[in-house]
Amino acid sequence: MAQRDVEAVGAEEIHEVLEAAPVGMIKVDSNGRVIFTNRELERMFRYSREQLRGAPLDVLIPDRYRVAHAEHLRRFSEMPQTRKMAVGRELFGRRSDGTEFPVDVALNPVVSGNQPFVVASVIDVTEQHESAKQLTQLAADLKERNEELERFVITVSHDLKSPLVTMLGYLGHLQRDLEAGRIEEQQEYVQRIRRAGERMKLKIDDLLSFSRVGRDGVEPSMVNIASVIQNLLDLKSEELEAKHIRVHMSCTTEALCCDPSHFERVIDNLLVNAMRYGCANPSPEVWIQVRQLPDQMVELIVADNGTGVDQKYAERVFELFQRLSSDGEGTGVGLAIVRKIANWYGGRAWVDERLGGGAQFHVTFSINRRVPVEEKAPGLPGQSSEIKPAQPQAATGTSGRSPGATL
Amino acid sequence: MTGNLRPVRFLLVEDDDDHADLILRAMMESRIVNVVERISDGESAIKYLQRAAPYEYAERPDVVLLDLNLPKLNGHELLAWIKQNPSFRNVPVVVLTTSAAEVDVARAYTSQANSYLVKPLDFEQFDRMVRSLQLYWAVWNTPSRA
Repeated sequence: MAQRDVEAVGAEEIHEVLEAAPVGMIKVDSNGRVIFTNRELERMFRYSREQLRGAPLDVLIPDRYRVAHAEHLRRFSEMPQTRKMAVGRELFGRRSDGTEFPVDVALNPVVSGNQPFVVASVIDVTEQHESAKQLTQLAADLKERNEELERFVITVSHDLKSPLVTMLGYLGHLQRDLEAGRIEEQQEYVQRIRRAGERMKLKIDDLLSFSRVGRDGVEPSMVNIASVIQNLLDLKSEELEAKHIRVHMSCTTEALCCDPSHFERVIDNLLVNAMRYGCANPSPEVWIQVRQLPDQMVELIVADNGTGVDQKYAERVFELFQRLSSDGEGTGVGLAIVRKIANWYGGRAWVDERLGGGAQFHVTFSINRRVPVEEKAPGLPGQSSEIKPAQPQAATGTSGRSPGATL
Repeated sequence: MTGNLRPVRFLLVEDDDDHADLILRAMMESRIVNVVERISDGESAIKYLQRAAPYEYAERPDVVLLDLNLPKLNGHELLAWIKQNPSFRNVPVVVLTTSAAEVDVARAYTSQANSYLVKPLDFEQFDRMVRSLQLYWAVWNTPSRA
C-alpha cells in the first residue's frame, strides 16, 4: 500500500513537473496525432489543451513545411533516436492565429504499450533569433565600415604620396645640381618643392575637416541663413569683384538648426567651387537660393553659368580627391565635405545642370536635425536642439559687380 | 633582342605637372631618343588616340604611360577603354602611379595592363625606373612582342 502511494505521488510529481516546465512538451503518435501537450506548449502556440488533443501535428507547423515535415517524421519513426531537430536550419512554429515564430525542437522516441511515440521539447527562440539577426547586421555594418576605412586609407595614402614624390624628386635634382655647382634651375626646384608642400598642407587640413564632420565640437544652434551667406560674400568681395562675378541671391527661409560652422563650410565650399570652375563664361554669374521644402527640409542651391558638370561625373565630384580639372587648383575634398555634412543633417547633396547652362549644386538639410546620443561629442548638452520652423521671409536680391547682395 | 633602337613614341597620361616634368627630365637625361606627348586627363587621352579635335596631328603611340588618379575618366577606365578597343588593344600600357594598393594592382592587371610601376619616393630610384622603362621599350620596340 505504502509502495503504491509512493508510486502515485511520483506520477503526480512527474505530471506537475511536465506542466510547470519552462519549455513546451508534446507527445505525438506514429500517425502524427497529438497525444499530450503541457501548458507552456499551449501558451506558446495559443491553443487550448482540448483543441490540440487528438489534432494532427500539422496544425503547429507552417503550411510550407508540412509536406517535408511528414517525411521527416516518417524517417524518424524508422530510425528513432534522441536528437535535436533540423540542426543548422531554422524551424518555425505556427500559432492558432496563423502567425509564425522561430522554435528550437529536440526529439526523443518512446515506446509505450508496444506503441511507438515521439516526445518533443519545443523552445520559443524569437529573442535569440532577433539577437542573432542584430548581430549579423552589426557584423555586416562593421565589415562595411572597415572596407570603407580601408578604401579611405588607400585613397589618402595614394594622394598624399603624390606631393612627396614631387618634393623628394626635386630635392634630388637640387642636391645633384648643388654638388655639380649648377645654379640655373635651383630656384625652380625650390618653388616646385614649396608648392608641393603647400598643396600637401591644404590636403591634410581638408582631410582633417572631412574626418571631423559630425565627430567633434558639434554645437547646434539657430543659424540665420541670410546673414551667414552675406558674411561670406563680404569676405570674398574682392575676389568676386576681381573676377567680375555677379551674385544673385534669393532666400525664402530664415533659419536652420545646425552647427554654424557646418553651414558656413557648405556655402563656402560651393561658392569657392562656383568661383573656380563656373567662371568660364565671359559674364560670370552665381545664383544662391535657399528655400523651404516639405518634410521640414531646407534646400540650398548654388548655381553658376560656367561649363557645368558632365552628368557622367555628377556622382564622382562628391568623392574624396576626385576632380574634373587638372588645373592643379583645389584639393578634391571640398565637395566630399559638402556631401558628408548634408548627410549628417539627414539631407543629401547633388549636382545637375542649370537651365541655360552651368552647374547647379543642391544641398538639403533637415531643419530639426536631432543629434543622436552616439554622435554627440563630449560636453554637448544632454537634450537635442530643436527649433520651430521659421516663418518664411522672402528676401531676394541681385548685386551688380559688387557682391554685396541685397537681402 | 635586335638592338635596333628607334625612337619610342610615348603617350604620357599624367595630370600632375610636377610628376610629368620629373618623368620628362629623367627621360631627357638618358641618351635614348624618345618622343613624349603628355596629356593630362583620361577623356583627352581618348581624343588623342582617336585623333579627334584638337589632336588631329596625333601619332599612334608605341607605349602609353598611365597615371591612375586622373580627373574625369580615371586611369583604370582609360586602361579598360584601350584594352577593349580593337584599334588600340595592342598598344602596351604601363601603369605609373603612386598607388601600391593591391586593389589597384589587381584591377590594372585584370584590365590587361602590360606593367604596373609604383612611382618611387627615392629620387635615384625614380630616375632609374624611368630610364629602365624607356630602355626596355626602346629595345623591345615591337608592340606585338611586348
